[in-house]
Amino acid sequence: MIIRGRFIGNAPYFSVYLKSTGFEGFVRLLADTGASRTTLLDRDVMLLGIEDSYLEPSSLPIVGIGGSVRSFLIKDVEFIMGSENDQFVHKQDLWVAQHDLIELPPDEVSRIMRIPSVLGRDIMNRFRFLCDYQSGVVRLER
Amino acid sequence: MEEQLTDQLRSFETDYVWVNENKDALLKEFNDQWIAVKDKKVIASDPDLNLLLSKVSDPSHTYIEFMTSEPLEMIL
Repeated sequence: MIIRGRFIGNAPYFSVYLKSTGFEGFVRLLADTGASRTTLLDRDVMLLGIEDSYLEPSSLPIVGIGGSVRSFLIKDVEFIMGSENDQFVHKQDLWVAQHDLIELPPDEVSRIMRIPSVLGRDIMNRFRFLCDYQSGVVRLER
Repeated sequence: MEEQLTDQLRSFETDYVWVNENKDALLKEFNDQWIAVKDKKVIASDPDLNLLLSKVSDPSHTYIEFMTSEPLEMIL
């Protein structure tokens, strides 16, 4: 199975269809080997219309460069990625990281809303990850 | 169903690649605005994301991006 990604600017992205009881839709996830968990950020939470009632506070904190955020889990989310002849279908808990946007000035909110959601090692490590920017090739294969 | 979903995923991907490839032209028209793109066409725009979402019938199946010329370095 080969799942092809795309470079946007110089960053590798994969398209994913997410489906849960409370929402479904498409997201573009940044392939991030530095992220232990695949995580939705503020913008995609809003675009997918995920209501607070679906967010279960996580017992584990999330930390990254720039500080801490509130962390949540959404149980049993189906991940679907397309390959040339097949689909990768996988169900797991999805992490959500949210900034406290109400407390921040508009310019800062605008920047936070540009931060992409990430495809972390929890899913990437199920594959061999090939990322060759010079050749324009990024893919997951197994 | 499976094939249809794969096609929709490809279409979504085509739209965000199109936005990236046409970023300069889109910035001239939509700087500091959110845009919604479907089938390589801007179907709605607004500086306010909530207002944009009210203009799009199917936001979770539509590629939505904030267009800005403000540089931003990301270290994730």
